[in-house]
Amino acid sequence: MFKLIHAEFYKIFHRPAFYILLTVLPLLAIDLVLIAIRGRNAGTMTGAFDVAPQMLSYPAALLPFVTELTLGEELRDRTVKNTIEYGTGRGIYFVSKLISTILIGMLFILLVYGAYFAAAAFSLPPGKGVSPGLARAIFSRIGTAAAVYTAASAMSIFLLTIFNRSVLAIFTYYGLFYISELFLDVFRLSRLSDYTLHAQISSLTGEDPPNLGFILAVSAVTFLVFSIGGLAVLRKKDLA
Amino acid sequence: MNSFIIETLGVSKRYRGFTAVSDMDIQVKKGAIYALVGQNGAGKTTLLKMLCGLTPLTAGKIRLFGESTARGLQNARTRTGAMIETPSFLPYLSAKNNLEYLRLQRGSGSKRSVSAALDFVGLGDTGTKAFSKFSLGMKQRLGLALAIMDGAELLILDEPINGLDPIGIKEFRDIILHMNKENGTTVLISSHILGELSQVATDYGFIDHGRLLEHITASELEEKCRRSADSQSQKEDISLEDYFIDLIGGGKADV
Repeated sequence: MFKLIHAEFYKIFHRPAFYILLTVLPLLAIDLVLIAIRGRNAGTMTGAFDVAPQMLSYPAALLPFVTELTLGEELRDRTVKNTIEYGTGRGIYFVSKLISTILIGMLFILLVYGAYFAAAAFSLPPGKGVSPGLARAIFSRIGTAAAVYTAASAMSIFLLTIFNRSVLAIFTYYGLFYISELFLDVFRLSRLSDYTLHAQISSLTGEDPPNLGFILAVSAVTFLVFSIGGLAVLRKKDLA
Repeated sequence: MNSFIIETLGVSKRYRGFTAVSDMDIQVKKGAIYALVGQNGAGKTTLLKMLCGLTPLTAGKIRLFGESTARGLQNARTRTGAMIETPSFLPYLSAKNNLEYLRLQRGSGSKRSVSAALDFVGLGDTGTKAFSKFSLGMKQRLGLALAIMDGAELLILDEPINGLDPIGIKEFRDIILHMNKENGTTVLISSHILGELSQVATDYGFIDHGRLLEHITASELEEKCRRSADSQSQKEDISLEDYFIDLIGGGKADV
């Protein structure tokens, strides 16, 4: 497993698209500092902390591009056969891709928030001051969002194992993630809309204090469902 | 313990409404170069995919190096090099980086084994050229480099000389023969170019419509071809191609 993850990072570090994301994402984060200047507690570090949770919905939108880097291209270019024909179990392969996706996703999140808070600290005055309570509240939201992204990674990888075309998987992901509540309404299942990943992210970006335990539980169940589903599909898949 | 490196016992593969391989029993001895001969769609690639774990079996059992459990087969496959259909690699990586990526995945050998494999197939000087810019022949060579990189005891090669020029075909043949004679590597190979197969094979398996029609050694085949030519009062022995066409019933052989 470790060997596969190590190799995954070797591959990613030789991927031009990775460096494009590595450059563009922090720049976008720094851009958001400018928004913080216009927002509440205008032009202060406190304002930057106020705006930070609103960024939590963006990583979910970027996740399909990370799964494309890890698993999507392997399925599309049919390079997965080079791994499986050497005797690597499909389960090990699937889990290693999932872990790699999560690690790379976390790397991006750290980078984005690192750039954001560093830019804010360098360019903005402290304002009313950042209390430990405010920092704890913000970082606990970011940490809980990581669990939602982990579940979204499993969903994205599950879709890639079903569809051989990455584009189809990406669009289905966006559909499932962003407009699942709409579908639930159509099928008169709106009582389930509190359990979607999008609802959890909305809760984390909202003004009201989120129920972190509930969000973690929904993320864990979603992660398990899509991981088991993806593994089952991959086990039966013709890989050559 | 028997000396078979590969055994399939009643192996079948059915897709929706179509049987690609039906109740196939083949046995490949250690040190053999076993040629799978069959028309397009006969089931050769499907059989090789099943041996490599790329497609699940519908029925039957596979034994590699005497191992038939799921874990045993996984271990056996680490002793196997394979090239199934067109070689596939990451298009933006060079030959060296592609092999290094797979070496890291496998945790096998050293960086020198990558360079040695590339030198062996004549791709040692491709530098940073991306795989996407390789000719078909170069892609085939890289596929072979991957197959031999870890000192495989068994090579499973599906149409390995497709796209190679005559010099490439000869070099390929020399590599196979070298590995077989010097290292005792067992080879299971399928090809449409029967003349080429006849220069390396020690055993033949003729398959048609997913079934094994006949297994025969090279010397038995030679003898049969000679006898067949005598019975037809021909001056020259009949070829492997003629024998195969005759075997499948004289139909238009797409070989």
